[in-house]
Amino acid sequence: MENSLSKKLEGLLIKLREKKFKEQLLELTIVRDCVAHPNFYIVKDSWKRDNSWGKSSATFPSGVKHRDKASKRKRERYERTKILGLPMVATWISYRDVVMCLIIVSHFCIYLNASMAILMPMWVVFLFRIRPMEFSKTWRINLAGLYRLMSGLGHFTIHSHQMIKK
Amino acid sequence: MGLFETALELLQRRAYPVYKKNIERREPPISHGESTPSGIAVLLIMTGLDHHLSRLKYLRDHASDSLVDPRHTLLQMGNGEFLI
Repeated sequence: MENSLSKKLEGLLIKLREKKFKEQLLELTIVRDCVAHPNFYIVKDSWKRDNSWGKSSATFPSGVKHRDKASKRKRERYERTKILGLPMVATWISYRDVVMCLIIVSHFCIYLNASMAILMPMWVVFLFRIRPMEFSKTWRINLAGLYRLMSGLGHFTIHSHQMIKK
Repeated sequence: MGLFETALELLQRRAYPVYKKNIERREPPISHGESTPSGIAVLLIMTGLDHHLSRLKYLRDHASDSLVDPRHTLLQMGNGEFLI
């Protein structure tokens, strides 16, 4: 209970086939750290000739470095995480990134429920309407959940099969 | 309201309308109206997950002997039985 979330995740996901999943969850903790312990970035924004936005870049001032956990999981040229491509600059976090976080976290809760019989929070049950037998269809359910969240239809209840059929 | 629920509500009520308005532009810079509630939502989700795991560990390792029996009479009601 006294350990940090990263330590807890490393303790729960120890199998070889869980490695990538663990890395994804650790990337979420990096994004969380970006909000909770923000760094100072030099951000360059650009405009095109037609007044539309160009590419933005963010760099650290000289002498500032990422923590070990973050620098191991960062893309070389971008301030984004390796696997999920989540932004490491607090002001770059968008709605889609949070939906991605929700999917990974709910996937983790479902996984714990299926593999270790650990209870999942009720919002996951309501959000994805999961029964234990449906674990093999988790990815499909998650896609449906993503669709529902992106469409923003209000209530957090979905029927996965209906959404897939559409 | 719990941490997860607050995060979901922030996402739906604050971030989503701005996301919908700027849906053509998905690269940084992100509007503050979208990035601020989204950042807070990430913070709440991960803190909620941490809290959830800690609570489960506490329930399993420390409080398992002192838990109230979940087989309460109200929960054992069958079909067609009603509270008077």
